[in-house]
Amino acid sequence: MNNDMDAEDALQLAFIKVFKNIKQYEYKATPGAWIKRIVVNSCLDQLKKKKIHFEEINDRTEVIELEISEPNYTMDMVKRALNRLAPGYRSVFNLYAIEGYDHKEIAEILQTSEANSKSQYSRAKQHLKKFILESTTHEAG
Amino acid sequence: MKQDKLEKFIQQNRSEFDDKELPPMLWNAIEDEIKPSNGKVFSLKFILSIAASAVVLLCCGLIIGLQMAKPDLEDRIAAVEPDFLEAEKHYQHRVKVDLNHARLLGGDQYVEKDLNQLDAVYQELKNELLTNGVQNDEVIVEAMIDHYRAKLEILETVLGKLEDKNLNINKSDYENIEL
Repeated sequence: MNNDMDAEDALQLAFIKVFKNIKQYEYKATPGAWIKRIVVNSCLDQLKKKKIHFEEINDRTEVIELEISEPNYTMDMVKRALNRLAPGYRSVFNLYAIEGYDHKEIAEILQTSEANSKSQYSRAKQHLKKFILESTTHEAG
Repeated sequence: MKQDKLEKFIQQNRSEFDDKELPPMLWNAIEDEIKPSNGKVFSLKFILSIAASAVVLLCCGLIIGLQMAKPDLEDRIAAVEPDFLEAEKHYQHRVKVDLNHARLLGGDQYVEKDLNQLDAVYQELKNELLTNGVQNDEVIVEAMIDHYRAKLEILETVLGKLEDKNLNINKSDYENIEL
């Protein structure tokens, strides 16, 4: 969400939804997974209200190729770089790399194709590495 | 998909991303939102304990009520007809014997409906005895005795017809025997 207030709002709405719809829980997933899915959807609804858009990937989209030696990552540098990512990229990256959803699930959550989810993730990761590299270069300089 | 160095780092430090604490006020806001609008929220345990207590009290009340009502009913019947209990036993015994006889002759289905109706009337009479004033007791107790008489009359009429029918069947059986 990149903003504590928005995250709290999304969480509040999600838990209200959980308690109000508890009878609709169909035991298809674990209760934790069901609640997590509602929270994720609530966050995405919040982001959509802010009119975030997911980058369209096509053949003409510039592909960033980073042939660099990766630094020794720290949590601080990863978190700061994540905050710089565009909301669409950040959502896909969070869902895949941090929350552990696969691309099929992400495609379903974001109502897009699996291929698009993979492409978005790949680009998000490249951007992230670029931001991290910029920050380490800046600190070194 | 093969993980690169960044992905491995995130995986190894996954828990570090859950570093935000929720403000306690958030849970209060959620609780306020899901609370029924008209008041308090009771736990299931609390509701069940109230229900259990109510059932126990209701059962106690019913048992005490029945025990108190019984002597009153018997006293009032005895005041009108001192031999009622003895007569009732006698009639009940005769009804039982006749009904068994009717069953043996295969005619119990003809009488059971009528007997059930009479039992319902008898129950109503008993209820009236409990709810009405003492001035009607004599009429009601007489009607209760009449109920037993009516039961016996019905049974005896049906039994008479069943026995006649049986006799005729047996006769015709003999008549049809070829020598």
